[in-house]
Amino acid sequence: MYGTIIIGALALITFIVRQLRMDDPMLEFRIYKYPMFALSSAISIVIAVAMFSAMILMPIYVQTIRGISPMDSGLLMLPGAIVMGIMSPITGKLFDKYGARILAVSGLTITVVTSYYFSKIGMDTAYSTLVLLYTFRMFGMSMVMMPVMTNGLNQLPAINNPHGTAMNNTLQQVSGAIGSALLITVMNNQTTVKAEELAADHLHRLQLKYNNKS
Amino acid sequence: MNEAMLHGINFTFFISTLIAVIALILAFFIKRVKPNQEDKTDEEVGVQHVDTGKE
Repeated sequence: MYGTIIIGALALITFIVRQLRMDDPMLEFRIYKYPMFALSSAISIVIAVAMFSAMILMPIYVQTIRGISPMDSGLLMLPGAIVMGIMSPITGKLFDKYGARILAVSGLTITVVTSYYFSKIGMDTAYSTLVLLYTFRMFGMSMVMMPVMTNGLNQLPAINNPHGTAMNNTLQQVSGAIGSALLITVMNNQTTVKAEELAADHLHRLQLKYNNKS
Repeated sequence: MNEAMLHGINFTFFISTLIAVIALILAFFIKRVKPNQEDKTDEEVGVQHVDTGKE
């Protein structure tokens, strides 16, 4: 298992070194010299982890645990998507007027709060509550992604803009994939731990019952 | 079994809350940058920006 990770890391290092030495690189890594671009790139990587993992966890919760039909669980996510669509031109205007920081901070605050509520959902959380939470979470996300990215790209000189976009997209996909793999592993481990705990508890109670009878 | 899975999902959402908090902290360091620096393409632009970014 570690072999593949090491091969991957070596290949990545070779790629970066090669790109830095080329006269006309495929992917310009020097764009990280611009501090705001580096920061915006870091933020979008972190957000991608949170966003993609929720995208995978929601269907598991809604369909497997709650047994809500695929149709209804799709409808659950629809308002969130609509809100994202409606918000994007509005966010653009707000960005021009107030700048990225205030938007990103308020959007991320919404995301943090709604994510926290998601960590409290139970077997009997109402469907409408789920819709509301998911919609608000998407609303928060929509205020973060675009402004942060635009602010970072603004710092790059025009020649480097394509490199910036390419770099951001690549890193977002990669971090989303790694992040969701990581969080699903966390989920599976926690599920196993809790299942064992519950089973042991159940067994214990059965034993007590048996002892009392005899 | 479902109960155990629910616990797993709740826990994972808690972790993703923490990840979002990291993003929130990073977001406080965002500064506004003015677009269009066509004439200066050197590394100095980056350095200059840190100073002038807070307009």
